[in-house]
Amino acid sequence: MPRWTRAALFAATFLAGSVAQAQIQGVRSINTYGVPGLIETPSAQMQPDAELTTSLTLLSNDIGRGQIAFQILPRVEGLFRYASVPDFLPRGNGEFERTYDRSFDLRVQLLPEGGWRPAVTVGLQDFGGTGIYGAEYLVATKSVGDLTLSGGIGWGRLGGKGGFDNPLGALDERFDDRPGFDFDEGGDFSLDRLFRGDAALFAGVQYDATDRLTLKMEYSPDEYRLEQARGRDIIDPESPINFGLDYAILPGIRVGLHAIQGTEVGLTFQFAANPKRAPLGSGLEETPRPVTLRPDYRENPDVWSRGWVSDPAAAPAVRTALDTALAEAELELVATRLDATRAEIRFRNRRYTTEAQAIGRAARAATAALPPSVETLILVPLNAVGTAGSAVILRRSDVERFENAPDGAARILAASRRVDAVTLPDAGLVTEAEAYPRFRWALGPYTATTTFDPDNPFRLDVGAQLSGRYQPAPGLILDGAVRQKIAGNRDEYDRRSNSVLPRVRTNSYLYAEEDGPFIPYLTANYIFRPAPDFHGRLSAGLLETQYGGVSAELLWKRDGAPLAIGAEVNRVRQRDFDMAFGFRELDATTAFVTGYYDHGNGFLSQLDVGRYLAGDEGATYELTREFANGWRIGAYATKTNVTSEEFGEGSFDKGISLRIPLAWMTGQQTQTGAAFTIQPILRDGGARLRLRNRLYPLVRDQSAPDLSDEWGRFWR
Amino acid sequence: MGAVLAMTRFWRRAGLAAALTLALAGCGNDIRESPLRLATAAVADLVRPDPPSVDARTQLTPELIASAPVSVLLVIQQTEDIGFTLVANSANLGVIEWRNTAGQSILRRDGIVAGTRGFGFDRMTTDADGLIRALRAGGADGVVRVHRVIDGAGVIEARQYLCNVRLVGTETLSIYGRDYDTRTFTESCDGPGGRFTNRYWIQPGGTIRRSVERITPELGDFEFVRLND
Repeated sequence: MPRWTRAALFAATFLAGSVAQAQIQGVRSINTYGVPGLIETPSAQMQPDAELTTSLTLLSNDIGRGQIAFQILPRVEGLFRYASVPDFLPRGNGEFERTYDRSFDLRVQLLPEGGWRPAVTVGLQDFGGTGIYGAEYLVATKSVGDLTLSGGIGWGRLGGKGGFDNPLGALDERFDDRPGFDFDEGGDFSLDRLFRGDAALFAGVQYDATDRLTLKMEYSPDEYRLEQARGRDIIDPESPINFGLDYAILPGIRVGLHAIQGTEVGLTFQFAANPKRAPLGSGLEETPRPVTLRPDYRENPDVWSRGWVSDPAAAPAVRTALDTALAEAELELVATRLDATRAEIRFRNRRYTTEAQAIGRAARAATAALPPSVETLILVPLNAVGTAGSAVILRRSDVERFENAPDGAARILAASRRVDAVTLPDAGLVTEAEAYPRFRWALGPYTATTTFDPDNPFRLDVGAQLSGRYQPAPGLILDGAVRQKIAGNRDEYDRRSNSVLPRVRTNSYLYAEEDGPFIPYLTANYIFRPAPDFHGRLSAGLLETQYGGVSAELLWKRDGAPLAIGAEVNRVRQRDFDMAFGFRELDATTAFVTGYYDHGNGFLSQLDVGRYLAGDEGATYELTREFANGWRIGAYATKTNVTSEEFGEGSFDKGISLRIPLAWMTGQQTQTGAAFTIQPILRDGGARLRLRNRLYPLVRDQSAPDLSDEWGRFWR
Repeated sequence: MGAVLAMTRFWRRAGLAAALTLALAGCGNDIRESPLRLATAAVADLVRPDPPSVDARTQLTPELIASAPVSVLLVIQQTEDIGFTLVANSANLGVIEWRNTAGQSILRRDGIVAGTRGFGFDRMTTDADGLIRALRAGGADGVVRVHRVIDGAGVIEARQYLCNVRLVGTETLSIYGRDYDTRTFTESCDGPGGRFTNRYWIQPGGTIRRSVERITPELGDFEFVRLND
């Protein structure tokens, strides 16, 4: 593929994560709150499955809203919103100051559109914040040609103009009244307001004038009572009829222009991305070495002789050939055990995103190097620290047979066996001379971010990092790094911590003020396999930027089992703010028991129960949707035995995690990815250590189900 | 004193600039540590001027083809209007791998595309046994063709097409000075990604001398011409 084409596709990746067409099929135009809809009102439509919609709305009255929405399931959508509202918080002297508000939405499509039937969706808007934008709705939408009609009933913000008694009051009189807004800590999921108070009707129509241009008109019952309460003057609505247009300027990028309430104008930018829309397909990496076929036994029986094992020069020659063939596939041979009919090959994969692809390439390399009498291939991929998980056992004749079979990936998987590599005998295993000790170092840039502090939603430091990793033996790792900030604004945060808990994280801004070189981590680790299905880790040193100490972890994970269980104990002390070798007077012992459960279809649950850094006890639950290409999108919440008041703003810890594999964007195989955690607010309750070598992420793709889920790349 | 401070500031800034330059350039024997550096390198690679690409069609001559010591396949990627050549590299159970120097390959069974590698939206495998039987029989309706691709999420997706295979006539192909008598077939398929029509020019012995085949909806049609043998 010519470079200009790759460049265009690459640009599209960064800009839109899509393919070249005016509009991406199925991607819906959004409203100013970031969900499919008109201007202020929602529609019942859903985005395509796994769609990640990032949007920014700017209004002429200086209100700004940024949103990230994720289509969790084909009919379930979640959204995180960060809003900036001017002149909102009362100062007490009759004046107001700007507020920054974080909130969550959840939408469920009850009925998909079909035939004459409209789609029907129930939605909760801002149910996880102060409730500034709090609204609930039941909306129906039907498309007829280029026209899309929506209408529904709303509560809260959508229950204003033309409001009437809540019909749900007939079920229970508690629905009649809606509690006031929460301006204290916020962050509690405000279930006591849902579907309460007066209701009102809303409706709208949109017309797809061209394949790029959509025109919109709606009746919005939002009266902006909150923006006018207590003497505020943020908006002065004149008309409930809103108008808008929406234009697809690039694939996956739309711009909306709106006239709102007869007094304001607004701009909405919509950016579409979807883990399922890989911009470069399955990748641009070079075609693999083909399987080397053995001569026909009947025609060349001598070549199949097992006599080579008695030749002392043969095995070293085979190992050299194997090393060369694996190196061509950019795999590192670590150890081998050869006999007349079997070859165990332990190798390190530092290139391929999936172990399945690495195993597939190793199998083909093995066919080029092993004598014909070797029929059984035992392939053992090692992880980043050199420990083994499952060994994949293949018949060489199956590798030869299924290479180009139409269902070759499924057939080689069905014909393979897996055993825990710990159960394989050590006798006869020859480790390559250059495998250990090994030293790796890198000098490159680093970035550090702070998100959603009360004054700035995004702060960034950029600098240089020198890192090194020394491995004297399998599983033993000494690693560390030195960083020097070059530019950034994370040190501009100047709000002192008001936490009533031990300040285990709210002093983070003091670490960000360091201008000189600092040590983000410097640790000694021993990662080992104590028994079949068990993995262990011992770590000591400067474990992360803010804590040093000792850490121990044990993980049980059986090949093929969806459940894995881990336990972790850490004894740490808070580091000095200069992030050199000194410590402060704050000690903590944390301990957790963690359950990991793979639900299938890419959904993973993780439940941590234990004691957190501030001494609080509780649990963290995280639900992650994962894709075989390496994308991960998750949401977590932590609730411990500190009260909302003790916790402070946000009430409890929660956040969103996102990992985008670089290979998905560039089409070139690399295990590197960009990982982000969006934490609406960083407080001391529910805080954990940020350890680098936790076991489950390290070992999970060395065994099923991850290993088998990714098997489609075996022949890639 | 002020001069000393100014010098200190200068050297500090110069040092930081040098550190930034070094960091972005990057070095070491472990490149996995920095996604930022990898992304920077990827962007740099893309903005670098493209070397002039040579279309194989402008280079091929009857003499060159006659002197080729190996089997050569001309491929024209129709959406890009680019021609390049591949040579037969290996064979396994009837599937021949044709490869170019850029690391891309086309797999063909009985002259029909069985898979591609290195083009991005590749087709991993093809089940076209029905097509092969239909071509031998002079045509057939309701022929099943199955493509397997790695979908955007990274898992194998099987796409099944129903095709009608028709003998539409005869044609004498003239390929770089050599003429080949062929029967021409169309294969009209319907399935995921829409409809497409493949075309085959088949010599009396069964050799597919030329074909135009849909690879995947994203890659579009590739034209294949057997230049020798």
